[in-house]
Amino acid sequence: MATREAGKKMIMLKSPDGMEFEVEEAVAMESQTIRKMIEDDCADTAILIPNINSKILSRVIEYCNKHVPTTGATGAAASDTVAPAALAEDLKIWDAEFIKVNRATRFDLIQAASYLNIKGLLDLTSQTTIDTISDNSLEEIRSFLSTKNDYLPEEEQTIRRENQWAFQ
Amino acid sequence: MSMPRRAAEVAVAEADALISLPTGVLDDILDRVGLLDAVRTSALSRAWRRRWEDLPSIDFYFPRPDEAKHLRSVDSVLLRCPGRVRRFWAHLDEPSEARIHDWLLVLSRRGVDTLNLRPIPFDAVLALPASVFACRRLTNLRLHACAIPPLPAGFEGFPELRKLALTCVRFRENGEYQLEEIIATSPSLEKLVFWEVKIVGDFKEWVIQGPNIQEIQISSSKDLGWILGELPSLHSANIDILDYLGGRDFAKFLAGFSNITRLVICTRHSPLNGAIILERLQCKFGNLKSLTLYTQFCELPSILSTYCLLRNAPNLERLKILIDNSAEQKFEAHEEFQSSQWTGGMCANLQFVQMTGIHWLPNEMTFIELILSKARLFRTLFITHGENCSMSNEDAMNKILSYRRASTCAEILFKGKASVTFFRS
Repeated sequence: MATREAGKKMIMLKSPDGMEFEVEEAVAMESQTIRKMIEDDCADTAILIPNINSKILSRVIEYCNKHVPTTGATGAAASDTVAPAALAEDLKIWDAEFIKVNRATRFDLIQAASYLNIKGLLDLTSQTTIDTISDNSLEEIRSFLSTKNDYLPEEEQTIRRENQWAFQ
Repeated sequence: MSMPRRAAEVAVAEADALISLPTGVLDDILDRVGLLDAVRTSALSRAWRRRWEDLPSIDFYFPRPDEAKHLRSVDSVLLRCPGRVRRFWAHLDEPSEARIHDWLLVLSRRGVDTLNLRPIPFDAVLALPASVFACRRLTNLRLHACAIPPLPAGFEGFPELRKLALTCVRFRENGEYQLEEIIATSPSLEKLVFWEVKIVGDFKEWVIQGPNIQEIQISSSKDLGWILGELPSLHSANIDILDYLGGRDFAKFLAGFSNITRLVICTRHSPLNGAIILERLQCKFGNLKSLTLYTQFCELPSILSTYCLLRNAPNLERLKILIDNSAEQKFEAHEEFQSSQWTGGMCANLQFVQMTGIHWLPNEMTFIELILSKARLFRTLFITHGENCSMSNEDAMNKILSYRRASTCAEILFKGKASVTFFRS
């Protein structure tokens, strides 16, 4: 992961499956949850991130590395010479690639973003779900969510009648 | 472990992954899909049946006229979902108008913060019930084509109201004092919009004042008696008054805006009965950085107003002039005349001028020539032309490019045709 650079404070993040990730403090602090731990001095050596496996945690760190403001990220394109608009456009393209993951990974990322309180990542990971619920038929939503319709036909009719306006 | 088996396990693990998300996350997702789609999830499966009813807050947000039919759901949604209602934004048809009194009472208890109400069809007038005044947590109140009822006894204001926008609303007699009271009892107000407000009865003067009012927009065909009182936070105004306050002094009225940094003003209407728009101002707009004028260069009063404002805005940096489509020059403001309007220090800080809808009239050309020859810090002139131009673009631009420039870094950009939309003909 991140290589140590002179003058940059590093933080160790540990996943429950035993992997360790050394990241710059600024990158870790993209997470408001971790920021609070650091500011409250609860994070001397290593921070254990419960419930988030190494595969997901590494993706989260990848996201934070990319999104940490300006000069923070190691090897990132961020620099003073790039116009903010171009930078934002670059980030948008990067985000679109980043979110091309399967459903299970996406929900894991939503959970992780929620626990770690990373607003940008939560917005990004939720958006596909929001778009799906907004733009598709019930059958398509069920298929997207892997939700089984366990209503009896007459029950479903009742539900639809109760809120008829939403089903027209 | 064989592959098919593993795939099946993954599918089970994924099942209803969404509904098992942390409450706050799922609430946020359902909030962002909007009420209609959130309610629709009730038919997905049993687990989803009542999930939307647990939302901590909902919006009735139906900004399009064809969504008025969704208001038939308001009673049943309010019954099922006990959460807060943040926004109620809708076009009200007749059946909804009959219910709005009761809804507003419920909404006031549910902490509604944004109300945006207008009637359909578009030429109807919505009889607003007095229960609107019970919505004490409003931060944003926008009413269009509503008949405003009198204030109830004991009205205590809207303590959190920040934006009040009244367009084409009607007040009964003494509506002036009612408006004055609403504004005075709503100390958080930041933005006021009055667009074609009508008040029955005789002309009365009344005071607009408030510690936090930052922006005032007035568009009116007649004087409604506004007087500007204490407005320590005011920095922006947008003024379009067709009769320039008729019998009152328009320049004196504008003096109430003397501390603002941004002014949009319409001086294109021909004044009636020989009334003066602006020739002299009793104040300087010392903080004014940005001025947008809806005007024309065909008639003397409008031209005098432009110069009057420029003389009194010594720190102006950006000037936008949107020219209407009158292309017949009724008064010739030749160079000598326009130069006589120029005073020392005028446009000393002007850097950017945008002229939209120009007709290349001699008066307009002379104005440009003067600006370019006098403004020392000038950087950019941005021009688009309108209908019925008096000469070819090429000739006009060649002429402009030959004008002397007081600033060495002045550049001129010509961007072809643009149309200016004026709301009132």
